[in-house]
Amino acid sequence: MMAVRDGGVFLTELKAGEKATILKINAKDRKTLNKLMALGVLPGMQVTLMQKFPSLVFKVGNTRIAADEAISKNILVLKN
Amino acid sequence: MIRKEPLEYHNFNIHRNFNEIEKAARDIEALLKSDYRLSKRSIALLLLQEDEEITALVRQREKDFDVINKIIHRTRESCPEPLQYLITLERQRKVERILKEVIKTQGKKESSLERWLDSITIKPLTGIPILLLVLYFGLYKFVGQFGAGTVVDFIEGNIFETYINPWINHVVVSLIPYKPLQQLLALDYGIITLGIRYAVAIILPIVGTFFLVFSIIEDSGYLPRLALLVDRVFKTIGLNGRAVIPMTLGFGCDTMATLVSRTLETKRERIIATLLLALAIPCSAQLGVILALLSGRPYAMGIWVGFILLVFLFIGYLTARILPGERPDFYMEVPPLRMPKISNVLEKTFSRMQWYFLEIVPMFILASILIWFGKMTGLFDILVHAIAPVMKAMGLPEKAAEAFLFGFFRRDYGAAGLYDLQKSGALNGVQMVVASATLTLFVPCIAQFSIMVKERGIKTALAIVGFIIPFAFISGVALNWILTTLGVAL
Repeated sequence: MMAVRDGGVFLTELKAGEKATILKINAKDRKTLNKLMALGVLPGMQVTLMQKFPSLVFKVGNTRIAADEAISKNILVLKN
Repeated sequence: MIRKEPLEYHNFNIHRNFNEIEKAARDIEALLKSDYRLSKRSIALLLLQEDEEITALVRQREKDFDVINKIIHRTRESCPEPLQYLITLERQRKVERILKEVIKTQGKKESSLERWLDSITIKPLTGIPILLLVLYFGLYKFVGQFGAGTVVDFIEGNIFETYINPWINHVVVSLIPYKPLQQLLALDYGIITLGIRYAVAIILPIVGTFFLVFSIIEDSGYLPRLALLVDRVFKTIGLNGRAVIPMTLGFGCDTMATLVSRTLETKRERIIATLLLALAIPCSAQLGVILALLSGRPYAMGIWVGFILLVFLFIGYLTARILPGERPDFYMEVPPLRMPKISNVLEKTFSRMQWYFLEIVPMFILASILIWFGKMTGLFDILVHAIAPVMKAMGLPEKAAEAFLFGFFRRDYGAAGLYDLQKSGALNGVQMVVASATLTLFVPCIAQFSIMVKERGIKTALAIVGFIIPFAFISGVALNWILTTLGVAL
């Protein structure tokens, strides 16, 4: 498990209000990967988790994104 | 810093992999002989990213495609991450390097009001009451009471019934001696006195006020917030939050909404959305008339809303269980809230009204002709008699059958027929609720059905309608039974 995580945590494990750096997009399927990349979710970018319920809302760069847990679980981050 | 290490290691790997890709791209470039109007490097990079269109094009044009394909495969094998991921990351690195040299960022402060509005619309505790307020003022007050009430009363009562209809009737009767032809054009069921009157006096003001509200909501950036609030509920009915857009549009016009449901990602979601739109989402015209019908009776209105909501969730839940396919994902950009621009709002409202008007007027005329034909040949009476036992089972007078028959031609036509019936005092509270609920569930209109066939195929469309008709009547009978057994008086 640690190997997959590369020392990071999943975005879904952050608390609301926490900031982190995106480490990796760990999507199993191409489609999800493409979706996230199209939204500008890329390694090295700063992410702030704004809320977790009813959907996750997070800010990457100047973009705010709402996503469900299934999608957000693909984003591996390093807490700042 | 130790904690940054994994990120640096990751980036280093990606960069090293990219050298591999760079080499492959150059090899492919050398093999491309045809002219693509794009640079050969772009074509090579697109091939490495498995772009379907470009791959098909190159396969068709290059005799060395096999060699190219081998390079792509080899590169893919040698990189631990998907090539598209690696290429996007490298591109992003370059973009950032360029941006750093030419752009200076100044931290723009959001005003505290903006931030406050922003957060209260996406938090469930405050977001749901706000949603209800939007519905109450936007739909009920503005569309239901102002559009369907004030404006309709004015155009219908003051313009059509006082001036246009008597004048048309007079002209037609004095110019055309032949009675059936008189009835085709004017009098009770004529093209002008019924078809055009319904279209212009009843439906247009309701649809117009709805599209105005919808455009304001759309332009303010509120819809994605709605989507993220309802995502969890929508997941239980096999849809995701994104489907809130066609579903909300359905309250304006189900035909348009069925067309818009093609923006949903999977076929499964499109079928579920089409079914629910046809079954449980009343269009604005229908909604307007039903709101006007039940407006004096808050309990009746409450039962109607609750019943339709229940059917919506229950059928959605069942369909999601029955239909095979993957779970839909939800992701969406949430733009900041902004003040709607008046010019945008008006333009969108007018183009939607125009679309609607051009689409419905021929349907209304067709419906008038069919009704005229049914009346003339006696077919209509036979059908009304045939549905009469069903009406009786629902506790409705036989005359209500006419409204349901109208509903075949246009949903709103049926509701408008019901409105006439209520005005004459033929229905009590329970009957009005039962009739409204059944009519809401009842068949999609001709226009919606034809779009269903076009978008989902004839088999799916027929299956949906084949389910809806008996289901609507059974629900009506059940609702009537429950209300009368409980002795509810409304």
